[in-house]
Amino acid sequence: MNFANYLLSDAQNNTNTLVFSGVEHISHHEIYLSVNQLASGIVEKIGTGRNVLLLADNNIFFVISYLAIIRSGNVVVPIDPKSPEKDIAYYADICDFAMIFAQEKYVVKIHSLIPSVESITDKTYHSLSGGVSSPPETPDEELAAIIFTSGSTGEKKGVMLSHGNLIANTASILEYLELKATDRVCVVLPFYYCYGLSLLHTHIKAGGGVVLSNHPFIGGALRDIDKHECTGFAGVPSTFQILIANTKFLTEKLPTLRYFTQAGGKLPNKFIRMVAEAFPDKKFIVMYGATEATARMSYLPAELCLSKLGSIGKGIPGVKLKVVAEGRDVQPGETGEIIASGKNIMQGYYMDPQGTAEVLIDGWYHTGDLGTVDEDGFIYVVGRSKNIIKCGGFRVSPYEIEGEICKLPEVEDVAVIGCEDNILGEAIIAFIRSSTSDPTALKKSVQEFCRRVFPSHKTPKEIHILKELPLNSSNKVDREKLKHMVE
Amino acid sequence: MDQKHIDTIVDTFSDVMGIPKIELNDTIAYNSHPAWDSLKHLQLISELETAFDIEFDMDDVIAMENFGLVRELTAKYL
Repeated sequence: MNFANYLLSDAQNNTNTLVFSGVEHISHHEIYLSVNQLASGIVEKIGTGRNVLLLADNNIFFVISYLAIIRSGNVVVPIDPKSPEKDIAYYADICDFAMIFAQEKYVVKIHSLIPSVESITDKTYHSLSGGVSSPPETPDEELAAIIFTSGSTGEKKGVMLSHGNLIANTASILEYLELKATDRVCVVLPFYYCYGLSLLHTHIKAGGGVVLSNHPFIGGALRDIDKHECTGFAGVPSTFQILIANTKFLTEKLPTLRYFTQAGGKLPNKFIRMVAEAFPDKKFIVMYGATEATARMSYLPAELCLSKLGSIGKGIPGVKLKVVAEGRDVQPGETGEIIASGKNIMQGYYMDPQGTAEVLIDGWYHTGDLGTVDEDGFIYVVGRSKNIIKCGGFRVSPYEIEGEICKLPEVEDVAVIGCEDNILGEAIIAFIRSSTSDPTALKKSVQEFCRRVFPSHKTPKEIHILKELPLNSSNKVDREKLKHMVE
Repeated sequence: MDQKHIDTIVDTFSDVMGIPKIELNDTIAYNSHPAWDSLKHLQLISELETAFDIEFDMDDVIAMENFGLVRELTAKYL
């Protein structure tokens, strides 16, 4: 079944507001009509089975375009609008986009990189429609989306998700969160990110609403929750850490709110406890996922939030999740790799059979996360086998940051590590080996360079200039020693 | 607000956002300038609070949606 048809199956007669975006709002019924009209126009222009780039902030244009591209039987590729130009050029190179949907403010950037492909913008998409009243149906196994994420060596990995993957994960999340048409979630997470998308998917299918909270400061979400009487709020670790550190979040009433969800990395236990204890009448649900699993793999029921503090719970409905070492399930207390299987597991990485074969083995997705289990079978993440930093909920490869910084003159070597941070979850710290006579000037030029080439979540929070980087017995940079230097 | 205060705001904003001072104007906005995102906003607030030894009300932090408003709302505390 086409994923957009699945989501919109009850939308035709639903006049509830689906999207609140600033002063604009749009109902399920209106979305249904717009999506069908636009999907028809897309089919008329490019047919089906082609890749279509989507570049937009969280807004009504994103929602309609996203659903229409999927509804048309094409493959949507939503990306961070603030992606560096070299990344966009790479996506264009491997995806061979047949069409682009971009907010007008991003069109100039896109045209300079992909000049040969037509762009439909938030100013023109209303006028695009076709003569096809209903685009053809789509089998479950056909691709619906490619979501790019960072691999452990800095390369971009295009996660291929089928209509069946998206349907399976959406149905499962709806079941365990018990979402209904009366639910309305406050969204601060971007829709090009799988966790943000899962909020959109589940609330369309439930017949509920999404409130797009697009303020420069995340504290604005607290106002939006009250103003729009939201029942749910979802965040990555840094979302909660910023709210706790920089607002009066823990003393707010938020009377309409029924639950919080948290995923996208490990929120330190002390913060989980703070939120759970500040809001005893609300559920705090810790979850675990990956783009490769569409979004979600496990959750910890809210009633166990404190008694199983720090656990990611067990597999969500339809997903088997276990911890294995040397080919067998680990015993309680042992450490192994967390692996998952289910209908939500991706089809593979786009144009990367080798990368796919490394993580999809005998029907199981190997997450690269190290975990352990307790006597009751609850899983705890204890580390990562892959060298990845989780900053602000995003996966960041140290190698990518190192590769860019190394291009600068005077930088002889560089090592990038992640360190626990009360705001970002993990903060990026760069250690630079240089014999420069003016380390202060070098530090400033590296800072300026990083701010220019990286989005904020990839920009080092601290830069240290050293005469030598510490080495381990294999003569490799000793990253553990570097961590100790800043702890 | 004296010139020294204005210079500090301009320097801080330019430094955090990575936007040259010469390009700054009051219409540079959170939702239109590619360099300005929520993490940078947080850093900006933190550095302004440190520079002036002030603490912004949350509603002011939310309302600072363009550079003109950053100047205007910071001036309230000086």
